[in-house]
Amino acid sequence: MSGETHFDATHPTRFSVGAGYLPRNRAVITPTNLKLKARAKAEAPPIAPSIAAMAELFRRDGVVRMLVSEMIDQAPPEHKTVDDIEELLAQLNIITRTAPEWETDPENRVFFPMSALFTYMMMTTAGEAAFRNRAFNASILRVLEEWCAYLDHADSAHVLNEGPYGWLSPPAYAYNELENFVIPDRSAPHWGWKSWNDFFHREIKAEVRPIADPDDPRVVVSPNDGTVYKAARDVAEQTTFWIKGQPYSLFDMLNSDPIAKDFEGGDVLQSYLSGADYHRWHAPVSGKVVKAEVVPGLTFSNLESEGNDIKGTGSQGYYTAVNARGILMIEADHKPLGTVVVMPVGITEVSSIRHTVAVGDHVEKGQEIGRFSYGGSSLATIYQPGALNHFTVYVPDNPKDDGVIKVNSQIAVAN
Amino acid sequence: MLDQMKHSPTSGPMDETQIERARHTGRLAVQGGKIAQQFDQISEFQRHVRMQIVQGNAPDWRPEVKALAETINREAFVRMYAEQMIEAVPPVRRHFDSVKMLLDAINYVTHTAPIFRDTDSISWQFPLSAVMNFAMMTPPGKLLMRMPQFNSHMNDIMAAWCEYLDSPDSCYVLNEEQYGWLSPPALEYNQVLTDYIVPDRSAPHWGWKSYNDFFHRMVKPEMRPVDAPDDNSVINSPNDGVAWALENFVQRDDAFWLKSQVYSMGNLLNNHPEYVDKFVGGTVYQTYVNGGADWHGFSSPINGKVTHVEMIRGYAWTESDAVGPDPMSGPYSQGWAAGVATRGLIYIDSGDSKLGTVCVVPIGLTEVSSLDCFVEAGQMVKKGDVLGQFSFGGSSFAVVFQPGAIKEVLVKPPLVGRNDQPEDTLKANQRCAIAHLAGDGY
Repeated sequence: MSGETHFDATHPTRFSVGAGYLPRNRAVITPTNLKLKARAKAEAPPIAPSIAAMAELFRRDGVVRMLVSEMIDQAPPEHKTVDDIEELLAQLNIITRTAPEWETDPENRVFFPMSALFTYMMMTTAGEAAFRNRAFNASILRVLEEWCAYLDHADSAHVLNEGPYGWLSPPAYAYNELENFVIPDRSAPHWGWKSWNDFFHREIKAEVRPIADPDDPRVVVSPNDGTVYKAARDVAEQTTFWIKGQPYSLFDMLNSDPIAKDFEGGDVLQSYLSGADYHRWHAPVSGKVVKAEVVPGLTFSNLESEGNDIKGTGSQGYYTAVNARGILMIEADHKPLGTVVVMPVGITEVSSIRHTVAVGDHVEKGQEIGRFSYGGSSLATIYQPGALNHFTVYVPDNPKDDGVIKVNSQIAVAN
Repeated sequence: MLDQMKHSPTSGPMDETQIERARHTGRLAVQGGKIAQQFDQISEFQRHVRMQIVQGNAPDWRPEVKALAETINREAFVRMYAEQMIEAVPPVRRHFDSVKMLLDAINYVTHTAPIFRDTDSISWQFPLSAVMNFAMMTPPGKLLMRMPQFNSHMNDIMAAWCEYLDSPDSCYVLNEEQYGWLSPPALEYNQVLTDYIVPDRSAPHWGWKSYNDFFHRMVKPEMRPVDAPDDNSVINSPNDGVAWALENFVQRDDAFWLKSQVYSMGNLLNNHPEYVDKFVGGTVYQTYVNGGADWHGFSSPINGKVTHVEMIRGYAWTESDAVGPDPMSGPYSQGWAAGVATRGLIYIDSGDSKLGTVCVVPIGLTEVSSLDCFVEAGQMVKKGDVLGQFSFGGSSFAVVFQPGAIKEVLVKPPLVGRNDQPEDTLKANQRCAIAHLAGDGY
């Protein structure tokens, strides 16, 4: 497969497309990137420290400079909107203080500027290697942190308005189902949200996410809103997770924690969040938090070999092994459940994964335990062998089911 | 062999690029047929190592190999590339059929000293290169070799091996038997009796204390007479070598990874802010040091003062993407290596305002990649003074001049169409360039 045919085949499988952050219509991406190019040329904002650090990395590290230069060169000419590394830096610099604007037409929605910018570069041979390079990825994580700080800041709240490109406009209100969310103060500027991220991980009304059977410890509930990607049983400790099918690899998922052995033969349920979904996650079971960490992993690395198997889910199994992610372990009160792992996974524009509980805390089933800031998100829960009797959620193998799950709804029954 | 490589998915055909590169490798044979023989020899060597492993003759993993194995196991995408690399080796060349066996092989050869079989036995003389060869050239292999977390463990393994080669334990290969470095054909190959100082022929191992002691043995001063010691316009070669490349007007940030392997002054000089500014637009020439008869030390090309010394622990096993399969695991990519490999930067100020500072750049390729520098900043040096030495391993050498400093470089690299002519070789302390002089200075 070559050129445009290849892009046509792979584009719909990209996470950002499946989750609604990029349009299915690939033709919109290059004109959007051209706008960014023009902005970077017209505006000359001060260089963000993280961008200066990336420039220094390109100067210092010949291998990184080669990979990034080649990824720029290898992008197809008709989609090339970055000419050299200086221009890449200038465009990233603009993104670090950009909040996404609302777009009513789904075919024109480009909510992820960085995913759009990297679209064709990510798919090149050099790009695949670049985004797996430790130094370059660390540099991107710094840029994302800086962008996250902007999105946490009041300066980013300007996109929260009632105008045609505002997130408080009637079509945006409907798209995001804001009626289900707690609006801080409708008469205040930006309806009381303090920043873009404050809006992004806004609080949902408790009554729209009732906790399934709060008193039955055998009923396990969904930690997140989303669409099921996969429910896997009898999972292996370590696999070649990069091959077709992306078999879960517990040792890699758990960041080489020897505890992976205790989960061998267990179960994994993974789902991904869309842009309009509620972006906090909740405890699937009651118990004591015994581990809460954030693993700095890859961000824009894709598994090109996967091709277009399932719409919008691209490399999600792969992400659980290599991406930036959180690992939260709950020692369940209901003994047969053993320890349950909640693993929020950041994808592409991952700005941050934040646990809102700490080791030693006791959590109740259905209680909020963490938040995604702006960015792509997927979430896996991992169970020890013998913990679950069966999953009760639909999986997308059945084309009649949409696989949609909601926070606090039942997903499994424990033994 | 060539046909096999041609049909494998992981290596390109033997095209013009490769032939041109082969012409540029100096010590290597210039014909494809010879290269094919070398790949066969690598196979033979790998099968030998495999046999040692399978028969249980390999020692336990040294701690540095264990550490590499742990990193491969722990870092998911390092493991991914490592396993993909093994799979990408054409089956007919896949003598190590798992990552574990490749680690076994690395561990095995780094517990041995190289032997001399015959004049063509390159794989036996450079065992780690022979072990790494097929795997490192596959596309995932090339990516893996550029992962800092993989490379740093390889550097640790080679440092441990170097310690072994510096120890008396490695002396067992310094003997007069068949395959010994003191056997008549080996002595002739290395020109030991004619060109080098033998410490004590009646002592065990003729007085050399280790394999490395033999490797960087001292050349007889009369064999490397210092040309024009008092004429500052004459610049002498710091090393024995074969001309590989010459470039004028070198840019600050050039695409040194391309087929032409142009130099990038910033990368070559490790981005030293002051010196890069000084040298941008200048001249670089590079030579390749032979493993055999060439002296493994290097000496000062000019009279002057050492102003700065930098030792860079870089990449050891990375090949340029622009070259084809390299039977020597490195020489095809010397220009690329000048920007990323383990190397030393020794700046010597001539005191003359036109000639300025000359930078001497010993570059370690593959194997041990170990460099010793004997001088430090502030020291005055004379032409011919020994500046340092390579320990065991492949080595390349660049000399860098400021813009406007050089009237003529006397050594020309072989050009396409010139391969039927003898290659330009030079010896340490022989003139290699003529400088413009202002006449001021020390």
